[in-house]
Formats: sequence, C-alpha cells, structure tokens
Amino acid sequence: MKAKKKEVCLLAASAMMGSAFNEEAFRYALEKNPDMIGCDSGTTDSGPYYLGAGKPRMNRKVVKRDLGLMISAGVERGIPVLVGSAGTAGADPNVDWMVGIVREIAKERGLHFRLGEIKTEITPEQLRGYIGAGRFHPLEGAPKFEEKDCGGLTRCTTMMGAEGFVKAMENGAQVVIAGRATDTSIYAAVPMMYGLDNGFAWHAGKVLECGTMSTVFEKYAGCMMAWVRDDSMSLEPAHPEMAASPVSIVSHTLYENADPFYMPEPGCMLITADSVYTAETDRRVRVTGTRLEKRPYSVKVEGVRFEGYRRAALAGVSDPLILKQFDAWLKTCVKTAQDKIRNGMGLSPGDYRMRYLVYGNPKDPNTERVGILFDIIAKNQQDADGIITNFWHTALHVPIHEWEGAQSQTAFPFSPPDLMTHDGGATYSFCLNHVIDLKDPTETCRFRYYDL
Amino acid sequence: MKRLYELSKLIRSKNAGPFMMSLDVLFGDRGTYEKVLATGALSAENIAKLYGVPPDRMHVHLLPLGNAVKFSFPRRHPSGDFLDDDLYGCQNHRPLMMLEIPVD
Repeated sequence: MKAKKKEVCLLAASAMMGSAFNEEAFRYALEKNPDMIGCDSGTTDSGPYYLGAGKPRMNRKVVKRDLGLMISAGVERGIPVLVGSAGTAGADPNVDWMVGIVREIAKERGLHFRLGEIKTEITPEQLRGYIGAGRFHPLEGAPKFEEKDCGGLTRCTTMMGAEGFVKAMENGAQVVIAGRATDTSIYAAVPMMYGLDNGFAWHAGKVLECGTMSTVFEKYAGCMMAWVRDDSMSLEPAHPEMAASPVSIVSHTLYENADPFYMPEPGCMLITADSVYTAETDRRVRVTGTRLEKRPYSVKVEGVRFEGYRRAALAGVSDPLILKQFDAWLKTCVKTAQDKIRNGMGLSPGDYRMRYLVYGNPKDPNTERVGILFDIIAKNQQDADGIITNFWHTALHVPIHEWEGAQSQTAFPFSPPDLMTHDGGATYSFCLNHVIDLKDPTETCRFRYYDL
Repeated sequence: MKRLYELSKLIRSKNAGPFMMSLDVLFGDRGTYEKVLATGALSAENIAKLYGVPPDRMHVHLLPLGNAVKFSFPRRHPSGDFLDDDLYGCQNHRPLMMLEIPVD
C-alpha cells in the first residue's frame, strides 16, 4: 500500500485490447496525467471456443499496436499499464500469447521495465479440491456441475479481483498482463493501492471497462477517463469532441449485467442504487452516493468442455414450388440424409448432433431466397466431413412432385459447400457458472516477473 | 395502442454472462417512462410470458435516473451451446419491441 492519494486519475485506453483505439484521443488523455493506463482484453461474449482452444479472438497486429502505444506511454511516464483477461479467455496459453507480444514490443522499441505475468488457470484437480471442501457454489442459471464432472473439463480459469494487480505492482511490475480478471478490477487496483478502495473506484471501473461506450455519441472509440476520490468520482471522455452526460453514464450501468444496482465483485458488492449523477460540465459527469460493501472473498470460475468437431453448410433455396412446402421438403431432406448416413457410414442420429437453422421466411411470397444452415457435431473429423457432405448433397437433389425428372435445388455460395470452424471444428461448451470461496484473494494466481 | 419501440429511444438485448440474457428499454424522457410503466405492460409476469420463462426467473429493474427498465432472465441455452443461435444474445429484443402498449 502506498501513501494515500486524494485523487487518482484512471485511463481506459479502450473497451477491448486490439480494437485500435483512437490515437488522438490517447494523446489528449496523456495530457491529463493519468495514474495508470488500463485495458480489458477478454470476454465470454464470443463464446466458449477461446477458453477451450486457449486462443485469442483479436488480431495480433492490432494488439501489438494498441499495447505498443500503451506501454511506451506508461514506461515514459513511470505509470502502471494493466491488462486484464489476456487474449480473450485469460487462460495460460492466452497469457503466454500476450506476454510474447509485450516482449517483442520491449525489444523492438528498446524499452526497459519489469513485466508482471499473472496466471489464473486452475487444474480440474484444484477445482475438485474446492468442490470437495464445500467452497464451490452455483450462480443463477448455472448448469449442474459436480466433483465427478471435473474430469470432463477441457480448461478452467478463475476470475481474479484487484488484489492480483496490486500485488504485481507492489513487486515492481510496471506492465501487468493478467489472466482472467474482472473487467472492473483492472481499474479498481490503482485506487486500492493508493488507499481509495471504495465504491467510486469500482464504479469507475464498471464504466471504464467499456471504454467510450458510455459517451453520448461514440464519435471515436477509445480513451475514457475517471477521477476517483473519497467522496465522488468524475468521468469524461479524453477526446474534446466527445461528451459524457448523466443519462449516458446512468444508461451504461445497465449494459451487459443482470442487475444495474447490485454488482458482485471479488470480495465486495458495488452498490449504485443510491448513486447521484450530475453534469459537472457539458462533457463531464460527477457521481456521488455509490457504496461498496465488503463480502466474503469469492471469485467466479469459468470452464468449458469439449463437445466434438463441427461442420456447417449454408444452402439457399429460391424455387417458389419448394418454398410453399418448405417445412415438409426440409424434413424429407433431413430424413433422407440421416438414412444415407446410417446405411453408408454406420452412424445413427444418436452418434452425432445435427440441427438446421432457417434464415428468411419461406411463407412470405416476396421472399426470393431462404437460407438453410446445416450444422453438425461429430466425434471425429472424418465422420464430421462425411456427415455434413451427406446433408448438403442430399438437400441438393431431393425432388418435389410438381416437377418431373432430375432436380438440383440448393444454391451454395462456395466450394466446398461445407465449412469447418477453427482448429478442425473443435467445439466447446460452457459448463461452469459458479464461484469458489478463497482464503487469500490471490491463492489461485501464479505470479512471474520478467525484467526486460 | 402503440408498439414499445415507437415509445423508446433504444431497446436492446445482450448476454449478461453466458448463462443470463438481459433486455434494456431506454425511454427518452421521464414522462414516457412513467406513462408506459403505469400501463403495467412491462410487469415481470407479462415479460416472462413473452419470453417463455417462469415469472420468478424474470427480474425487473427500474432505473428512473436513466428513464430505463432492465429485464434479466436465464438463457434457454447457454451462449455458444450447440442449440444456441445467438452467441451475443443481441437479437432477442424483437418480442419486446413489438409488445403492444395501451397508450395513445
């Protein structure tokens, strides 16, 4: 803990690492002398794949550009640069990926600083320990998950709080690349270190983690600022052509959460039920009345399991004679394909998963083309290829009685007509929406430091 | 009778984590916010029925400072599950948009 500060200035470079924040806004932000530069780098919004595969969603070039600007400014000014939820999922390989980029930046730009790496992934065995000790609890909407399910986990990570960042900074890290962390904790950490562990620090984090999405009109993306004090905070976008208003800030507290007034964070509850938002200037908002209640320390765990290999095919149908009997025709396609797969590949519908999604309304006479997405998951890639080919190729030639002779009735936009998603179609599902109780806020974190 | 979207500044849906869905309705002014709420059309029971979830799983939060209402409820399928068809949960606001509100 450092000597207490009356006011701490926080800069969120953007809502998501790798989104190419506006550089002009960043220059304006630096003129305000922020005490830290932060950026969130993760989300579960793009689904379970990134945790399962341990791969990032964002482009390496753009991440390097964003990180390069942040690190250069941070090192030059001697202020911390904090990144949470590295590489989308914040699991170990995602952290390694981002640490590699930081090393490359340091080398190329001739920068010297201490890099702190925090890993938050835990093994299924570790999770089993928490479950066995009764330190594992479901959140609303959580799927059933028991000790015996741990073996089926592909990967699992805890979502750390601000203490991990504080510990790394206290150990001299100027740049911190953290595994999965709550978005808010990135911004609550520096105030916490300066004795401002209060509702305003966390409330500021809640707004900052979405960058400039809380502004009246997001003319340029990136660079939102907050000033946190004992009794209030102020918020303002860095770019002078942009503004925050009480309504824009209040409205943003709704975004992407289940409850806009009570927001659980590791070890505390952020309470905005009595927050008051006033316009300080025509582009700056002051917030008072926010509270923070300390709670027993628990962190969220995120985990995924492997489901199989996915293939999909998109088929367009335009013939009005088919469209008027579309449902029956599609059922025949599916049934015929399933029979072929059974007879040819020896696989019954229970051996794979299949669904179709129909885009466009076949019943509307103005519809010129309806899209069918065939989507399957199989146990191995060879089966997946065979199954999807059977579906689209069957759909191509299923005849209707209104015509006589051979018919080809599905338009495919490319060759081959089927697609696989990344990594041979490896598909995962989220299987945890739980918290675990911790005795020490950083007991699931692994720290490592590099003097670059 | 008006559709809810005709009375709102913004209606949106989005994941609140992979297992919960949230719906936000932002009204432009306090008058409209109060007028619409007074009809009772945005009750937990009504919206639960609209989205086919049990009423006790539909949470309603009123945000008068922002002239806004938020609904949250468990997703039918978690985000990115095999049967999910909307990863970000961001195209689930249509039923709410089209909801008929008994106002002039």
